[in-house]
Amino acid sequence: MRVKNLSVLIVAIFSAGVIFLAPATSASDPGTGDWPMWGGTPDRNMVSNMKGLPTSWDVKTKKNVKWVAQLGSQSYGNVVVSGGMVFVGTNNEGLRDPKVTGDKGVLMAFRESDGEFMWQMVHDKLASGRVNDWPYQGIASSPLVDGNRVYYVSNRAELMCLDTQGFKDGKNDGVQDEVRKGPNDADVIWRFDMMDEVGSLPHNLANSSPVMYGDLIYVSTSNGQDESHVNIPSPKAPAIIAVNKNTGKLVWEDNSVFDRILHGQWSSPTVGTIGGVVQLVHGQGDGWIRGYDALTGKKLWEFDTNPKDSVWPKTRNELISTPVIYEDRVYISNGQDPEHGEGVGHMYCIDATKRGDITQTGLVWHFDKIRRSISTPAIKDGIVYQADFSGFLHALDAKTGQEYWNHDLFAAVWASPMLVDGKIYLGDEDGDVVILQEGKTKKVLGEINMGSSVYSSAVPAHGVLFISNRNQLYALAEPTAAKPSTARN
Amino acid sequence: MINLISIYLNVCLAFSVLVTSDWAEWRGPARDGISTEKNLPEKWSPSGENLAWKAPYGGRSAPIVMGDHVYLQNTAGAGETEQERIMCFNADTGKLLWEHRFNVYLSDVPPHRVGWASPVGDPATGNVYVFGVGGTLIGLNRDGKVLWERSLAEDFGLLTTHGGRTVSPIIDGDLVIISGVTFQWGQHGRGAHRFMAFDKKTGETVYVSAPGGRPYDTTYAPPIIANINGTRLLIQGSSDGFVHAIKPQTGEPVWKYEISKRGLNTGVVVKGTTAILTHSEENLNSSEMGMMVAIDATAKGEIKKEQVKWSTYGWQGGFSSPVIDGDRMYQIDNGANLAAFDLNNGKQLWLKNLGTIQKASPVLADGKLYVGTESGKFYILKPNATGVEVLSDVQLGTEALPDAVIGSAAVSNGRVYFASSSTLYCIGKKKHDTSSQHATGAAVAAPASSNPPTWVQVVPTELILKPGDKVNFRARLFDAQGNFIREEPAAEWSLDQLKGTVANGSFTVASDAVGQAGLVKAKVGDITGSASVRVFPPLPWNENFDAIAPNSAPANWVSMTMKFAVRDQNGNKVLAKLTEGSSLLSRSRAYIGPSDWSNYTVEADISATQKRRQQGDAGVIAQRYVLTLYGNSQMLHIEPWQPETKRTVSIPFAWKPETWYRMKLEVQNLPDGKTRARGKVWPVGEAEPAAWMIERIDPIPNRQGAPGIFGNGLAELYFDNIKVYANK
Repeated sequence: MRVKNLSVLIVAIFSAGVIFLAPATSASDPGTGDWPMWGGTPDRNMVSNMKGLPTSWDVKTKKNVKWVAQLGSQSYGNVVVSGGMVFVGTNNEGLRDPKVTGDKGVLMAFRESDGEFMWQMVHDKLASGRVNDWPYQGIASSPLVDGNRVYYVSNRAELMCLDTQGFKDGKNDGVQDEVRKGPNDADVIWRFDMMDEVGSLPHNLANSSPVMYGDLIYVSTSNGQDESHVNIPSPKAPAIIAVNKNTGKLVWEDNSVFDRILHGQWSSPTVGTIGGVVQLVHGQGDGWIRGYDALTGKKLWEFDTNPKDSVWPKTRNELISTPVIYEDRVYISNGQDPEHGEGVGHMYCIDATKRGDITQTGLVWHFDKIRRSISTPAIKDGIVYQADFSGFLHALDAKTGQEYWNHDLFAAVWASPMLVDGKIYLGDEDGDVVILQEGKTKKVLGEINMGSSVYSSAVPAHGVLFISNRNQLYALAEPTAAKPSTARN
Repeated sequence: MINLISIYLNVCLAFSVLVTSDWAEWRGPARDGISTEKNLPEKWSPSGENLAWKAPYGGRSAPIVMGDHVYLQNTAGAGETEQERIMCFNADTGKLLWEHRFNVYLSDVPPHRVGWASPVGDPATGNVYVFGVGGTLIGLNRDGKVLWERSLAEDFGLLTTHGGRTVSPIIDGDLVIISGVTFQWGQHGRGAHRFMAFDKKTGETVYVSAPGGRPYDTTYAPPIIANINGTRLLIQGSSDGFVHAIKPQTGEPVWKYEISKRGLNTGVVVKGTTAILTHSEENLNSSEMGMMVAIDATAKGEIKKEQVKWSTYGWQGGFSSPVIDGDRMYQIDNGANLAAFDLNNGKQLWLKNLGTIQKASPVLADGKLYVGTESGKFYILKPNATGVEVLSDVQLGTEALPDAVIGSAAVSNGRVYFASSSTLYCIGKKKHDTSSQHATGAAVAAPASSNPPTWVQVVPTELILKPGDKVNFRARLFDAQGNFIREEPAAEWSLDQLKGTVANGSFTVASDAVGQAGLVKAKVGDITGSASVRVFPPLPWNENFDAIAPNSAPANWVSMTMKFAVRDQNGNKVLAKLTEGSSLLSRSRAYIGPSDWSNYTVEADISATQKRRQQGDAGVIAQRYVLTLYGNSQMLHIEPWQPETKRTVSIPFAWKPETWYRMKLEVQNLPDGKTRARGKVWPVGEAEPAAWMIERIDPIPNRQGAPGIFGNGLAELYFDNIKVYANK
């Protein structure tokens, strides 16, 4: 395993297969300059202490554009950066391999220093079609990189483990059954097929972004409704699974949801220490969020994010947003599939040191001036920044849920706010990235158009800000500030 | 009096273009979103200013206006009494005059998407036609009396999906034309986006046309009919990612242009002989989504890239249809940004944000754009060469709980009508202004052509007959421009795959009690046309598939191709539900008899396989009720419309894979007006249990419907010994 630079703020110590997370202070910055997973760290709080990131750029004139990589036509997952490599899920409309045509799910790997395409993993679409694998949506899972392994969920609902080097290292590690073994193809270590192994039937798309603790990789199965939208065809499949990161074998699973799934299960899991216990926290298909002992899968608590009198789909919501753990609290917003449009939403701060059904006992605050949301909150210096699908960014007191201010982006927001160096970056469906100043008073610093919809969140790594629109990945940097990151390797 | 009017209108129809002030189709008289009326309101308020009236009925489609009536299609009732509905209001007062409710059945469309399409009015007859999300096409007169009703799900294998996307019908001369993805039989067995035309007076099928290839999605792009150098073309984006141009009176394909890898939902607009097409999905040759393209509509055959006048990539106009204003075109993208484009080169002139999500199409009238957004804002806008002035911007509902506007506005007699999700509004003067008159697109002005014939249309087509039935067919001739010439009395008639006799267009079905499917052909000179006929023998009958060749299916069954096929299973022939192929095939209903049968029982043996821990769902259909065995959840249901769960009855039922079960579903119309469906299931080889296991008494009954079978799932299912008989 390659040794990383370890930050003094968050120290991850490997000890008997268990990571101890130091108490978060001002930020959840991964601290290495890398951004190795969705949210940067297992607590999913998108905060970076990085300095010198650009606040102005122009995709037309290429001002402050370090490089651009062409993706497919739709890219919903987030880029991750680790070990001098950049990984991102998309579809096959970019035709990186002219011999591989037609609709596919694709994971692309680029060199961080110059955006050179390194290799790709290509997944056929499921024969069962759109009910399980929607046309052209590609891979929407944001990968997780751990050393020389990259983990993600394919459009075929497989938890994949690949060699970060692909076949570029000249070796076929792990399983030997890859269909394509050229220098630009991916080297599969193992795959865990959630449809075969645990009976999951994902609704429209399996999209979970993995999170890790010790030797365990956690993903949502995305099990959901069939095409009728009233029948749960596979009620016995779990909502959440833990798989050994080395062997690809199932370690634990939980199916508290059973057949109460409202629609799909698209929220990704989060790991953090709450009240001294390392918890796996997961928003599930019945609109409840649940906390588990991360090692054993023992359920510790559950919390209903919908008012009891709410009715699906008008007022009852599902959970798509990823929960964030911050100072022993869990922050989560509910919402619905963007296809369902706008509507009422709910945001909660939950005291997850409580046990059992904590809908009443664990409620710290409830913010109901939010619309449906699929965005993940970011929290720093006692302020929560939370976007909703109707295009409002809310700044709330993390302790009370009191709103300091809100900002209307005038377009639907799928992305999540990223806090870097005192600034908030947030993209919208019209392709605008707005930059605001962190703090209790609203100040807009700028708005920059990316050419097409920005569904993903900004990612900082080694002085470079990565932002993808639907079909392109931009590496943005001030010419003087951007250090060539490959120098470290 | 009515007769006199109708004679007068018929005279008008034959010799001139019908002139009215109606807005009888949702895209307006020329199906281009444009009204020629003047002096229309610049501002209004829901509380009274410039508000002629409002009525507490909402919808998700556009109202239409014809004479002194306004028609709105929407949802009625909720839960187990939910139905689709057409409502008729007095155009001056908003008073509800009548409504007609009809059932959604055998459809995957969910309750909240009912009432997707807009109705169409026929100014020549005063009739109104409505196409439901479940595929029911109904003609009504101006008093709400049903003239005829067709079930396109059962008779044409029309696919209706969770998305709910449903094309609105249009009128062209004597035809009601609709389109959608169908899986029929014979030459129309494969799944394709088909155009279907019906005689507006009788509901008889006039033509079925399949100009395109495999469908990707269900879609709802509105058609436009444009006169291109003397040939009238119906131009419409389809489920196969192509825009197709056909001759509206015959369905004959003229040109097609492939612009996307997904289905298309926006209307085409035409200026002169240039057609502008838009979409927001995957392009064929770029990783950028969305495109706007101008093509030469005088083309023939498949249009190539070289024939494109201009194109711009990346514009996301995928749901809201554009309008043309001189040399400019306006369109609202999926993110509710209104933009103006230069029609000569596609260059964007300006952009104005109106909200976050956009479905409704703007209407251009009196120099103003009228349009509502999904965030519940209704705008009146004055566009110009450099920008747009907001004349009025009314929030319906509240910002937190908006009253969404999904359908477009209608403009008639100085007033603007539109529906939010809760309310029908009429903006304008309380006393209507009748000064404005325009030609209606529904009328077909051309007198009988004297050109040589190039096309034979045999009507009626897609008939369902009984042994011994006698039917008179007519051979209708059309010229190269698609204009009607005459009915040909001297055609040479013949039969293809049908047993019976035909002479002078009169076809007598053989009296043998067997099922049949084939064509009645008419040859005139060296051109031939045909009508399709299916024959079903009277009940009872039994199908054990022993006489059917492997990999095929009974020829007169609808919706079998690529979905079901006969297999030899250890010497016994069974019907397999296939699992390969397009996702549009995975949930399959097939119809095995006429849609006007009632009071009968269907029995079948079924067996499921298990694969990847999944066991499929299998069912039998009678009179629009389905008795379904669910594999994974081990349940037995009776459900007329699965997504509306309140009317489903269910019981736990343990059943094993690789085991044959007998299913029995009996449906009976009761004397009190309700309908009873009841079922039972037992292992083949065991005695039939005496008691029924599951029963549904339906207060909003389906009084007739075709027998059929249902299969769904990742693992194969098998059917055998299907028996249909009159209730004992």
